Amino acid sequence: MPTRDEKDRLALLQGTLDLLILRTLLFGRQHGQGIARAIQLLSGDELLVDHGSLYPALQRLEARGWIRAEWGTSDNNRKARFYLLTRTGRKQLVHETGQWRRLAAAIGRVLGPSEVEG
Amino acid sequence: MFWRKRKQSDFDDEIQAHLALEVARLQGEGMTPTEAEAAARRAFGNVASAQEHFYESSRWLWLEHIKRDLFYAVRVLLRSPGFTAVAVITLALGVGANAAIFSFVNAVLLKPLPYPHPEQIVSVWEKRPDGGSNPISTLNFLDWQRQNRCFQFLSAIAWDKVTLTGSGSPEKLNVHRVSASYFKVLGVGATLGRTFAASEDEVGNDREVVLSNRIWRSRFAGDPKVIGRKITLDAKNYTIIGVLPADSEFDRTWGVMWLPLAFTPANMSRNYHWLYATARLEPASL
Repeated sequence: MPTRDEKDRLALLQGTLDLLILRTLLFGRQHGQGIARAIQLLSGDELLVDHGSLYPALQRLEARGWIRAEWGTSDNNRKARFYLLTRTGRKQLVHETGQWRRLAAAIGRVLGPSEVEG
Repeated sequence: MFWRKRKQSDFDDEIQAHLALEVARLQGEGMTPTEAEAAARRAFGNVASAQEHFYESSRWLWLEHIKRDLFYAVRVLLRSPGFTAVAVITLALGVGANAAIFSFVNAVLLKPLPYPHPEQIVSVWEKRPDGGSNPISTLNFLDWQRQNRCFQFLSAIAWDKVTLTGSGSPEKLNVHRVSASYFKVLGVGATLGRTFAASEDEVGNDREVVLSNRIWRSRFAGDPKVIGRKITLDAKNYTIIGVLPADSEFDRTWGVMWLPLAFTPANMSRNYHWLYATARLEPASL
């Protein structure tokens, strides 16, 4: 897959990375690189995930008990630390998703119908 | 949330695993190993900063801070040795004084007396009309001993000094003169021989002496055959009848021997208050 030039991508809004991580883990356990990759793919290659800032976020989520971690082996047989969604993490995901949808809809209403570029 | 502290090395391993996975993916997309390595590192950003961030979020950082504060404190104290010495001496004296006072309070007020049923042991004083107390006169003591119904034993104590002559050099000794029931009040027996029997504190029967363990060892060489031996105190013959237990309070007190306290006609007065008394209460009086 051709990788898009990084300058074109959108930087993540403050606070949205946690939500995206939780959402990614809904599909099952995943390691850090896989999470970064998944967010990029799911966003249609629009979002730029700074791999470096991913780990402090994972650390934070683990400390809050929303995810937990275990060492395992990746698909291509490499050692990696896998993250899993916990029960409270799942609840948090539902809550935050709702919040986000409300926020996005509200901002959408304020901005009005999409403009035609020209 | 309480979670097991994660080691820095574990976090470093995770970053290395991430970079390896990313390099593998990029190579799969057709990059050369060198390009893939560089691209993975670029995507990750600053590895050292991520590690630092992890280190700072670790829960043991406060320990590190305390350690640094301690070293700082030591450096500052070393820079002003005069102040440090004054502070240390002040603390040392304070701690020392507290320890001394506590030892005293503990021994005198908190610890029970080292005798059986210490709660039954009391000391007895005369009460003056003005409310104060003072030692007991002979006749008062004898009346109490005869008439009271609350003590199992009531014994009088007087302090005296005698001169021991005979074997070896003469020696001035502090002694306690006590009623025959004195050791019954305390509930203490002799380790060697016996203590006073009733009526051995009467004139004519009173030429007997009980030794402290300390003087038995120092002056009589710890001789077990000392019982029955005659010694000369103030030019009168006394028979040694017993030796008190080792390492007991009798080794630490003022006197080194116990002699019977026999009242002579000259003592029979009601207005010379010279006796101290200790008694054991009847259990029913408690």
